[in-house]
Amino acid sequence: MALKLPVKYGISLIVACIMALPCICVIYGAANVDFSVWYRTVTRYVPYLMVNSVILALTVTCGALVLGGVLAFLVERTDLPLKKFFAPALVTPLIIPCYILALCYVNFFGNKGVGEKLFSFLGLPVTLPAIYGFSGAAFILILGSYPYVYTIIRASIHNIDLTFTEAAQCLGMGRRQRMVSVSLPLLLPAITAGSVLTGLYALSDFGVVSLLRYPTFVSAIYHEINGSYNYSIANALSCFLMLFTFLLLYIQDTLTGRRLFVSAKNHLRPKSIINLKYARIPAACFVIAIIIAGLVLPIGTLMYWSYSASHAASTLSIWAFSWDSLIQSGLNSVLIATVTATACVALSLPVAYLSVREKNNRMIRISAWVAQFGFALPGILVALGVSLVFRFIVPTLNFSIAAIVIALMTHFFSQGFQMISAGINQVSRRLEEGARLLGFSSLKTFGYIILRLIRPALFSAWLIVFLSSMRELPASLLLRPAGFDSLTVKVWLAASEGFYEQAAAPALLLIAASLPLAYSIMHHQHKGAT
Amino acid sequence: MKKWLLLILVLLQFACARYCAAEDNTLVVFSARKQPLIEPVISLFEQQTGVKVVLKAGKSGALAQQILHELTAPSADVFIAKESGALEYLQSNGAFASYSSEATAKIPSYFKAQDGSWIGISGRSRAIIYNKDLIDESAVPKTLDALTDTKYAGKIAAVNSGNESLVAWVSALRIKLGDEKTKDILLKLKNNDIALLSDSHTDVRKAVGRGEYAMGLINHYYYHLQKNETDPSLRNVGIVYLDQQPGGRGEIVNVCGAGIIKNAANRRNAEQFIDFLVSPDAQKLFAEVNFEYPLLPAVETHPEVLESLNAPGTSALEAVRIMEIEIDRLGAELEKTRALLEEVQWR
Repeated sequence: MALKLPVKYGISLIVACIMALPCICVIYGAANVDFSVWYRTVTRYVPYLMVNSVILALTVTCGALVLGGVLAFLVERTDLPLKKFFAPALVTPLIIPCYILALCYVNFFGNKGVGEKLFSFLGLPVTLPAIYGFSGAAFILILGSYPYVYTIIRASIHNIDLTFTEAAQCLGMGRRQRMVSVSLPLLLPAITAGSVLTGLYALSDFGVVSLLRYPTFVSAIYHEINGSYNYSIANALSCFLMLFTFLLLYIQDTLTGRRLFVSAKNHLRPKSIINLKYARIPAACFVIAIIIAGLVLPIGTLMYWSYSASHAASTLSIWAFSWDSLIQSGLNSVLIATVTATACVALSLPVAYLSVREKNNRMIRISAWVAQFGFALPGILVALGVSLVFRFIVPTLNFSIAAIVIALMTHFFSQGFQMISAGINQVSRRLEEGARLLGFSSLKTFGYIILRLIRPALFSAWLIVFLSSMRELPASLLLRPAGFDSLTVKVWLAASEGFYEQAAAPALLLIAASLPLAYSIMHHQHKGAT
Repeated sequence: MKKWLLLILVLLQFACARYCAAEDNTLVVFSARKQPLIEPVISLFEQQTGVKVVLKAGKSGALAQQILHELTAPSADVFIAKESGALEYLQSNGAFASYSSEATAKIPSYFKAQDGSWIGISGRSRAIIYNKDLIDESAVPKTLDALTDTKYAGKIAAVNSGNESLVAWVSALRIKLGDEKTKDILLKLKNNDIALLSDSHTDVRKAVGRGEYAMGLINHYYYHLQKNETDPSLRNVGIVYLDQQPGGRGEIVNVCGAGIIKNAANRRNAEQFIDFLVSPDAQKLFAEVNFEYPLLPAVETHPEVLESLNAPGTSALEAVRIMEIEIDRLGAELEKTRALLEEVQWR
């Protein structure tokens, strides 16, 4: 659009400022923290939290990479039976939010848990160990995050250019050597993207580590916000967590930053399929086991609780299940998610347009980068930041629906932004120029040409922000006004007090609401999108 | 795509319709008590008075911070806390409006603030829950000092410092025994690998019920909640009140209490709610549904509670040997207690 430069700067700077405000407030708040508090934080909290968080993030990243990579390889390059079914089914665990997965597993394992009941019902009395602590948290986070890695690596394997490996083979390289020096480097961008995603995922997780009693930065911050009567330690810890996140992003940037790994032309030809021979059946069993663990078992557990809630009424009638409150919290979730998604799309549209069309403008590039920053930060940190923003600026709006919406918007802005800029990227500048030559005003061009052409991208951006907001936990939990419980809050309040029967119904509703997510991902995959 | 948009629009309209229909006759209650444990009382209040109660359940630290930040234009009318320390803390920061009436006068003065800023609504005592499969009643320690013996290493579960009742318990010990002795006890427990599960007693009672730990430090009513689990295999637990021998220190009996927020928008409803909380109807609910000690002398303690105290026909407040401290002193000790817990790494 032929806007004046100051206007362009203005738009992108304003959006960037809104998105960066929570971050700035955390730092500002931390600047006011007493020296003695900093000292206590550094000596008593940071060391063990640092060790715990790093170990967890590393383990989850490695685990998810191996699991996702192996599954992607099996699906793309081997003669695994039932591939047409497995390929999309392996993504479906995404529809279960991680904390619900944790909730199911904590109660499936352990003495007298759901698992032991199931096995003794089947006539196989076994004792299952409890899975609290590090190993359980790592297991659940791997199970919850491998679908991302699987999707990314699978697309990368799918698009790999065989001419390289063939050339290597002609030059006399053995299979192992080809794998190490040709195929792996080609997959490196996918691998780093996957590992940063899972690393951030593990670092910012709140629900799983709390339910599995494994203290990390995030759970310690939550504990401080809730248990103490001021934010000072929470504030200091948040600064460390922020620093830590930057470090991770910086490492990723230096790892992949300026290198290019793609071939100039993409020669998509059918690839040779490796014959698994005797390993076919065990491989299929492995895939089935993953699907059971990620999808069937948790949903089964939730259904069992719903069933027992409706049949064997608890001897204590202390918290009656009510359809009315369930519907109310469902509507609350829809309300928050709709407002967030709409605002996110509206705000990211101009910034995305400018950042695509003015690629070489440094100012706009930096603002676009700053605006996307909230995605890398843990939800609890964003929530704390927004709470501080309101405390400093408009105290009356603290703990309101507006606060939740702004927190979610800051957190998920990047998701919408990425999709919309991808959409705008596909619209040729020539089309705009043609319209302008034919006498359309710049505004009309934007409305008639751009908006119409990127409608699918707008819709998928809206949908992904909507669904992410529906499932988000810590911000909704911390910032909600009185009487405003969303589905996630409902699940959390019930589950953290051990009322699983009450948690089951909202959890199932939440999973059902996530179905479009699974559908859209599978749909994309089917088209072979990278 | 259009179908999706339409569906979401319809849902939104429902949501809006519900918000617009908000009633004026409301009362906003902030509760540090768990939602399941306070909801029966609130719904009875709604039935009796027609006032619509808006509830925000959360942790007392977060709720107290919100109240202190909204002092000029509070969104809450009433604050319900799990123990007197949080109430005293808010009182000392000027968050409460004092209130007394005929109904509140019937509560013994031990269980309320001297200036009428808050009032106790139910009593609870600390106790030990134990799993009968793992430990015999005779082997369960009967005093706090015996509990720190190394032979119980790895067998005890408790909550971490995020739990208000635990903080109040440590404050009480500090008042009664002094800082050194209290620190000594806590460190001994830590050295015996006491498992600090989370900030919720529910986790402790469930872990003991499942047989993961032989004993757990709880508030007494968690034992009764465990006793009433749906699954009979989880009910094989017992309870021991510490230091009950003649001349013993006794257990701390703390209160769950409520106060009216200063400048509350719905002051009349708030007063009505406080009167209701100490009325026989509500006290009976606390006693019957939550197994707590009713503070109104006329209301009977739950028979299961009396049975566990071996004192049928009396009341709990007579049967339990109560540690002699002033519970309205706990608030002033809050910061020091938290510092001590941080020092011994009770997390």
